[in-house]
Amino acid sequence: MHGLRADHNIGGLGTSRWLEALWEPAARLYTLPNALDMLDVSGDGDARLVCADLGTLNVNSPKIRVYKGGDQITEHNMVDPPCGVVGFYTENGEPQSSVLAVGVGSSVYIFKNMRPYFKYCLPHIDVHPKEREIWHKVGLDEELNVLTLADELDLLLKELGAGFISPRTLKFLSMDPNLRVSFAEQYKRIPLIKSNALTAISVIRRDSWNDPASSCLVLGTEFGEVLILDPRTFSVMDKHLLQWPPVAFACTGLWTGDGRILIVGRDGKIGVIKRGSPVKLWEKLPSPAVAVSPLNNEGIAVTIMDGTLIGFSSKGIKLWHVRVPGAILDSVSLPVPQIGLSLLAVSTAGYGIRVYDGKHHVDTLKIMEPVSAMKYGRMGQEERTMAMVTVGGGLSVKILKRTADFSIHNAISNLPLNDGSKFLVPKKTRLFVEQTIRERSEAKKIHSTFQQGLLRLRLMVAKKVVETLNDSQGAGPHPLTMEATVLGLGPNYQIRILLTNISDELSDTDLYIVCRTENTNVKPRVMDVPLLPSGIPIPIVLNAILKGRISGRVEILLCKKSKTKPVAVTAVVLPAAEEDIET
Amino acid sequence: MGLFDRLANLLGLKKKEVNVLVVGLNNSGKSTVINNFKREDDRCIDIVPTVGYNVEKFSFKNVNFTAFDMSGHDRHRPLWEHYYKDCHGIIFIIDSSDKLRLVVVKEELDMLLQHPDIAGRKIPILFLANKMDLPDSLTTVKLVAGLGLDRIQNKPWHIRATNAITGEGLQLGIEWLTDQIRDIYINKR
Repeated sequence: MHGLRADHNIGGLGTSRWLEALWEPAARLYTLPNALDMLDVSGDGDARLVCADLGTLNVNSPKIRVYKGGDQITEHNMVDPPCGVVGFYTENGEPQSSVLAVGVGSSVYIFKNMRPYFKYCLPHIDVHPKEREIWHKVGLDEELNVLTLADELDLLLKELGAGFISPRTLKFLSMDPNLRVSFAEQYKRIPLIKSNALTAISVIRRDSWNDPASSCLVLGTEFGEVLILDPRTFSVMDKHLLQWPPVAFACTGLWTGDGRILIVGRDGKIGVIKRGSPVKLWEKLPSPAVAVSPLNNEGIAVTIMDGTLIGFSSKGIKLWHVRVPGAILDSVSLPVPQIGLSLLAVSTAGYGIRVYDGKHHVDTLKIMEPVSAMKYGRMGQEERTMAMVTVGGGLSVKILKRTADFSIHNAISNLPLNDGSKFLVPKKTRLFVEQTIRERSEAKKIHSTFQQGLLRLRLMVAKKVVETLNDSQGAGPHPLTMEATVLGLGPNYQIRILLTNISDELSDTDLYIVCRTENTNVKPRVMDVPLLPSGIPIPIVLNAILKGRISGRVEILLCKKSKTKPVAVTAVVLPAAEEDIET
Repeated sequence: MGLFDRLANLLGLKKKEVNVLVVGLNNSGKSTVINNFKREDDRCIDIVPTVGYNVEKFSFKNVNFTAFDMSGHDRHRPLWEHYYKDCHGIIFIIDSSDKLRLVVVKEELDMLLQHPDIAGRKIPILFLANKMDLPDSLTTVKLVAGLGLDRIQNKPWHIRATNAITGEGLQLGIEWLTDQIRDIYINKR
């Protein structure tokens, strides 16, 4: 009895944001990204999970399997492995059953009420005219010359390369020469065709935002085209030539309006198309893309195979990129309109499913096995369901709690970003208008007020810095005495300084003497103090010359390097020189 | 209180007004259940998803019920708690055929039981396991286990399989609720 999960944790309410609704390890589903969708196939209002199961090597053919909750209700065999399944409506506003489109090989199978309804075949690609001519000529000839045919075709193959040759020619050339005759006889009168192959399938809303709304099928082909099909007639509405095969689409908006289709190519090219305008190339990714998902603000997130998640703006500007731990297996967008977020779930190998809000990691879903494909949407009656298929073939369904709150993490991680940004004054409020008018009329005053404030702030900071520097120097008294005597009659004097270390140990290194003078020239003004042994007075001699005829004054400061406050200060007065002594 | 009043109360002659809260997930059949309790000629034919809430009145065994039929849509579920304070009983309706959302039912029930206006009160809860007619519906035993109802200690509760379209099981359910409310609120006074 799956579906029943009685975890008797008294006190209830776990801390996870997800409720585990279903875990079916033996579902034996093997899918790749794009192979899941949730749609109301029967029209009873219950959305079912539709999976394109590729099967395993030894087990049977690919299948489309339809699940209701955890129970499989139907399965449909497919001829070839599907490249994707999508659901859509053909009419606006009619709550009928949804149509399922499965892209297989070179055709799209359309199911209504899970019954085959229509098969759309991709248009054939034009064969190279030379090749067509060769086969045409063979068809006209009565006598079949296999050797010339083989030579001509071989020459053509060398000229064009295998990518531009039809499968018939390739098959012919790869055959045993003895079998070629019968092969050529069999096919020579049948028109030569080269079939196209489907590489990606998606849907885009046609002309309505209301639900349910008709959507156009978007098909990508190996030949490098994007086809947009009309939902009613399944005829080609628009065709865009890319020249490179697309592998994933992200569709936003209404196709008949401003809708855009973002295309990721197999070689990593990213481009965008709009109705009626050619493809606009954005850039080339460093490695192939895993999945591409639209975000709410028209932006787009792309996960690529080197383990990076890249965010693009709607204009194609690379906004941010994050390294995701482990290999990326799939990613889907996780819109949570109730709290105005559009998150992104990234499935990783070994690190569970990581949920990102922009570039910020907000949550991790723990799961037993790596998830190879996932889909978020409405399943059954629940609108916040995440269906996941694991690499081991298990099916897991989790439901996002109504009370899930991603904003706490969000606020914390966003806080440092707000530094230096503008104040968020909403536009068009009276406050905003008044402020704008004031800014315009009194720009000068506002600027000068601001500059004043800034200068004051800088001054205050500088003062505080000096204060703290000085305060921190109180520690460690320097047990030194300094005596200064003035010798001589002037105007040339000698200042003798006696420095005595009165502690028991050697004095500090890096002490020096600075003289601050008035009316006097002192040489040298700055002098390093040698290492002072304990108890022995060390004399230092300075020469002082009076500048004029009045007395001078010298302040002698004993300082320590890297400190701004002097250790000791002494002042001496140089008396004015006697005039009669001067000769 | 006069002797007559007390006698009337005891015999259930005097009508009493009680409020009951009807909750459950969307599409579980809340409005359909309430529709069945109303008088024959008041019933609606078409039931559409409730937006916000509806107030319905009906009486049963001389008790006048005012039922707050809350919307079960997840956008409207935050409204439920505003009515917890003034209600005398809760009818909790479960879609027993929706196995996938049983965890959601459990989550909502746990939140209800832990709400400060509910947690300490002795308030009767009637669980209706609706849609019993559907082939893959869960039995009441499985629902009790799945929702952990046996953990509810301080409140009288009762579960009953119902079919709101035919009305099967509803009478017995509301009878239990009426008796409980009478025991707890009316006879005590």
